[in-house]
Amino acid sequence: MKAILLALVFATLLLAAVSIVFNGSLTEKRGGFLLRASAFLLPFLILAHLFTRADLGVLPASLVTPVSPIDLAFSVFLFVVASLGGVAQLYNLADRGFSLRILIDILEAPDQTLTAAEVMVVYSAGRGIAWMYEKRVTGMLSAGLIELAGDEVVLTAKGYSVAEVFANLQDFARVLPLKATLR
Amino acid sequence: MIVGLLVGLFWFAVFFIGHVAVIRMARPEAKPKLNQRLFVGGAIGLAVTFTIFSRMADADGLGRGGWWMGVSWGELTYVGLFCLYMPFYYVVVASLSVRTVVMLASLPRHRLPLQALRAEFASYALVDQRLRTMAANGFLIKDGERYSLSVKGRFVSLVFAWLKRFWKLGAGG
Repeated sequence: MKAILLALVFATLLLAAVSIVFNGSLTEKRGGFLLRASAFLLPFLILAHLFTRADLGVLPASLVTPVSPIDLAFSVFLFVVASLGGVAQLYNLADRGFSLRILIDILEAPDQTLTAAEVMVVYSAGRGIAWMYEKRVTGMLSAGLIELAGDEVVLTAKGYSVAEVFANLQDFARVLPLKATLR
Repeated sequence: MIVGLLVGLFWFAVFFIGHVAVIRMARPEAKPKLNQRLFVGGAIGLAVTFTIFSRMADADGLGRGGWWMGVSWGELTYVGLFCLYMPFYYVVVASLSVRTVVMLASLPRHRLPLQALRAEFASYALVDQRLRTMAANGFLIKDGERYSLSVKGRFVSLVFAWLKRFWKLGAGG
């Protein structure tokens, strides 16, 4: 039980810190802040686990894990889940989710219905689908996966390595090429 | 508690084997719903079978905390592994950036005019396909050419619209 309670406390601290900073001045590199905040809190979670009593002074004996290292490992696991699988995923979906943005655009449409052609234009509060893809291209450029040569997009060596890994995973998952899925 | 952890690991392994079967054998549009059912089935299976597993290990004190504590540990392990794994899965199958680099890598000179990429990835066909997928998975209702939100779609969009405002993320997407 100690593992769950400590992970809950530190996940709440992370969520509070992220909410305060996102509501403040930070408008760029929010994802980086989120990861740094998680990495900053993790050692404090470990220390809190090591230097508090197994029963936290309040838990009945039946709720104390008999093997303390397992309790510590479980607490770390839960915090990692809460940060990477929880808060970071909420942020990624809210900030970059393609399908989610379409849902919100339909919600905000005057009669709350849209056609595919209208989504092309009104996507992301009127920026349009072309803007969405430009944002992905900018992201790939800053990650060093692609570079521009005149009007052509060229895959970098790093991009090729990444593409090889994902192409194998897509083969395994039987992901159809985009053109095939669009037909 | 520790039995719960082991049972959680076991049921995630069961889910993962089923998930691999789904991604390799099911029709693309059926995969999200099947994965969702597999996940829920695993969570129920864990709670139902926990007692059997805990009887096997109780003599060693590994089942301390009783049924509800063991199941809590098990479900947290199971859901936690799912939360860590599924975003990675969706990057592999749905990310436009990943699809772009994979497509470029498949070309002889690993290059393509930006205009051609836009035509491929910022296209009507892409949007149309995504809308159909969301309708097939119960987020949208299709009426002729128009799409409206289902109850599930409305709930999800309201929650995330609020989160966007709360975190001041802007329109995003």
